[in-house]
Amino acid sequence: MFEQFKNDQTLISFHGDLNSSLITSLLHVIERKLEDQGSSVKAKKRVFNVLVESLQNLYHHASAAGDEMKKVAVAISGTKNEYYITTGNLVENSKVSLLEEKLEGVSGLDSNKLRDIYQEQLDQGALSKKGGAGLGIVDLARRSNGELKYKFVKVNEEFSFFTLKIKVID
Amino acid sequence: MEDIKIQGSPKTPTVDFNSETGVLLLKGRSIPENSIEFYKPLIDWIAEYSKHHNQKTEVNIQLEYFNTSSSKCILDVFKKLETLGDSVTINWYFEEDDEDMLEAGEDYDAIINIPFKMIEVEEI
Repeated sequence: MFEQFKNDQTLISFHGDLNSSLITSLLHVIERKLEDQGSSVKAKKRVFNVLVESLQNLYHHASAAGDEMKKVAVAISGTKNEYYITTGNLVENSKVSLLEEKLEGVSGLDSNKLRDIYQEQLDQGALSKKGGAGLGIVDLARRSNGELKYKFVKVNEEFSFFTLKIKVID
Repeated sequence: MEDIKIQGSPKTPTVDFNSETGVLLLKGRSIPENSIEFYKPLIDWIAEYSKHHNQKTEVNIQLEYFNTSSSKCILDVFKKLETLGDSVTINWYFEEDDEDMLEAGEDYDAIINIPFKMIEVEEI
């Protein structure tokens, strides 16, 4: 399942256990690569932000879970002003419907609507113990102009493989 | 009271809170996995400062990146600053062409009852 994360335009692909210092390193590498590609300020910042948010989503999720779930896959591909950030990880089957609901809730919404939801959640929501603001998915949707693609594939009685593909354009 | 001076790191911003001048600076990146730990002392400092604050307080936010965990804490910083009344101004800096950062400032401006000044710069 993890092999699908590579292609010719891949800037980075990673598969393994995620920790805080690895997140720092991955961010450092992608920043350099985007600079080398000469991408626009907007595209560069969006890719970086999307990567921060999606890696930290994976990190928070994995740190609360058992060993099988600590493995994650991430790939960033694209050229100059169009990028794809793809993440993959195992999710407990019991949590799939809630996650799916959250993703469906923001899919297809225009930027004004997403902005309203973001502002409301920012003002009303409280931070979780792990520091989650409940804003991750809305933020990702905003930065991808609502272009979030996702898939859940049932692996066994316990887990499903969750893939999230985020398109970022200039 | 003691001022706060923190050197920036790859995931946390430079902080310079000066009670004497009333100038507060947050600059760089704010992308820690858990931002509460980082921001709690800053919010406590503002609470203390608010007891005998300067006639004018100028807040300079010069962030290159921040994550959603920080966004909530930054809001809490602003909410604490609201308690100072109308002596506060917030200068929200954003890099040329960084529309997302400008929008982020506008998002706070919509929620917070302090005047925001949006300032475009070439580089932060």
